[in-house]
Amino acid sequence: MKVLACYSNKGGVGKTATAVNLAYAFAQSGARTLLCDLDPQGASSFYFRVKPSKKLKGAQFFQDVERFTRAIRGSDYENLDILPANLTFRDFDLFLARMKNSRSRLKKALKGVHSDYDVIILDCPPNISMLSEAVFKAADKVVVPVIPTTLSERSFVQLLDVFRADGVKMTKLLPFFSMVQGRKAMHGETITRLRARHGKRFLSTELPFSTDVEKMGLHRKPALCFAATRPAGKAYWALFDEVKARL
Amino acid sequence: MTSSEPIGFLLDGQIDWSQIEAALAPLRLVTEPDDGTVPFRLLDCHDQLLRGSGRVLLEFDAALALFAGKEAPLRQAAASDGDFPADLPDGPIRSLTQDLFPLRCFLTLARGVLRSTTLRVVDEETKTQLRGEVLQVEGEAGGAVTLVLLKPLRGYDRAPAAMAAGLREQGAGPVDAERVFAALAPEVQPYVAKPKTTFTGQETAFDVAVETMSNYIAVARANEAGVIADLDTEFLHDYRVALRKLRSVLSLFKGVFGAVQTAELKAALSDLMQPTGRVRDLDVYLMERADYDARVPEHLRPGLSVMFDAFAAERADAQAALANHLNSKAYHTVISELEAQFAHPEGFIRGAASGVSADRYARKLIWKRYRKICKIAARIHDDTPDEEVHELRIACKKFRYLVEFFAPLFAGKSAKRIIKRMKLLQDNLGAFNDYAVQQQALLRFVETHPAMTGRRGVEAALSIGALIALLDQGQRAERARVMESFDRFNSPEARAEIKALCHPEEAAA
Repeated sequence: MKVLACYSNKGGVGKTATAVNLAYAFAQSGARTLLCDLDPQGASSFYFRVKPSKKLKGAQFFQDVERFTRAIRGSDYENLDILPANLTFRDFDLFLARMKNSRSRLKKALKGVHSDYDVIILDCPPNISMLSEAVFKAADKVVVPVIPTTLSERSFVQLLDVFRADGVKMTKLLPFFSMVQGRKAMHGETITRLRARHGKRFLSTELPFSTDVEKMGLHRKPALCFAATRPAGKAYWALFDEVKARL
Repeated sequence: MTSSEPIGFLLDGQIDWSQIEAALAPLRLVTEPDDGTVPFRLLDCHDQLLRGSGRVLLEFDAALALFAGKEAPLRQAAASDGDFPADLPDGPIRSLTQDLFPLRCFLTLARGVLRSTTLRVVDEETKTQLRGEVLQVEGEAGGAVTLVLLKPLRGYDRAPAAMAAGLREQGAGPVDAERVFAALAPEVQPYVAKPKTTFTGQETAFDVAVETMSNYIAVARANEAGVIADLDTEFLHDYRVALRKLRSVLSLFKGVFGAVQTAELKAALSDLMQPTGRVRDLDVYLMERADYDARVPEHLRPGLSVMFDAFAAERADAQAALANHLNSKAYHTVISELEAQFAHPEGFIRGAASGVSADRYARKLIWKRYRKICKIAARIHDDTPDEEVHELRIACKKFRYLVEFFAPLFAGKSAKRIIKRMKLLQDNLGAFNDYAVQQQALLRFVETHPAMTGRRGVEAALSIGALIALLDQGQRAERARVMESFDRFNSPEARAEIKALCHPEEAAA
């Protein structure tokens, strides 16, 4: 079983859309896939029309593997299950911080569903916290969408520092350029600069800025479902191929 | 997954969707019926082993689906050609039927048309909470059943529970083979190769003999069509076993029929048995082909195929002759008369023992047969001639038939246990005999068959010679085990159990 985290320390970069479409692509490829919506805004769950479970109490959540697995919901798609965002996730960072050995606990909770899934995708909240550090530890790869702007570049550098400080292997990091607008000169320049500086670390897929991604909220479906042959859809498939090859 | 509700449901007749919708509210039911109907076949082997184990096998849309109880059906592709489990492509139904009846072919026990409908149960956000499939099955005979198969989604327990409740309100239950057969194949009776005689305790030995024989005549008749059509080897095998059991009732139930009556019946049965022997022998050799091939070195295998080709050709002729015989007027007269005689047993000339209580008679007979086995076995040691070992085999067989005939008479499972204990010994003796018979048959083939001439004949003789040597080794190995098998069968507990069965008054005292 592989754990793939979608993470960004900056909001609004297309992280949830990436998690949702990658999860859908993995499931379509035949892998039994679980998408964990750890983002308190619950956007991935929303896209899959899955309501959070009311019964869960955060304090016991990661101690009790059975509760963890009982909260899982089947999506409308073959091979794809969702662990929906829950109110208690709002305090999740805090909860993890209070717990000693938080990393191993998360790891243990993930192991609890090992037998069920080939791929677990974590849609993480956009901040660097105990949770995200635990996620870095648990994940086999961390997919990071980066908008090619100066501000995003700074966030990315910060993330690298966190990785270094935590002693997390840099090879886990899979950054890619997201919401790329070909007409913006700054996007092109930033991409060139970052690719030159970070070598092969950046995936070659560049995800275009697209209304199809925005329409996901309208359709409440992954873009790959309704726009598979349009530029955004094609880019998500390409991203999936690249991520899968590295996983 | 998380739901504990059943997956499979069976309803008699059609489903009433409005009731289901009411049971599901506020969830919504979305159904998408297929455009048309597809033909289906209800399959089982002649023994109806699937039906007997509560299973229902349907073939439609070039695929097989095996339903049982509350479980999700097993599914796989159908065979493109052939009627045997081995002809199926790899899959769960192939493995299961290969284990259950490797030698039997599938028979079509009912036909008709089937309409499939996919269903979804959605919530107010149109999130799917339950998927399912409905098969409306209409038999040619006019009966209909509906199969509902639910595919619960992880984490959604309410929808399957509400659906199950709605289905139960309409009388749905787990998939039950008898209900399906009653609707789709009402005329197909269950086939029982070993019918049980019913005992009330009041019967005489004569009553039991008549009922047993009449049951086995029915078994023989139930296999005629399959033998004639040459569907699989087991029709003839069961046919012959039934005739053999009929004969053994006559020889075991001494004094039940008058002496002349017994001799007449025996003669009639021998006449029926006679034309079946050769086809069965050849069936056995041909079935052993893979095993024989495996026993000899590879370069000797072409030699063996001379023999197998000859056997196959001979079998085709013998089978045709057998089919002619079973289709003949003469055969029909004999078998119908026999049937009629047992349907009106008052016409039989009875023997001295006919009025004895079946219970007493059975216990006495079984004890006598058991003593006989022990007596023969006591004589057997390492140097005893093979004939006496054969005698032990036949005595054991008769003993087992007797225990089988009367098994329903005895309380508890002691009869079943005795039969089970005999299995190892009988397998051992059976293998010993098969090796002997096969060697003789191969020798006869080498000595007399026209194919055994020229260079190919020499080649064949070499191969068959090697095979005979191997069969002889096998026979000796079986022979060496006989005493051990007997001692295992005749353990102190077994002796005590047989004694308790035959002499309950002593055991109680």
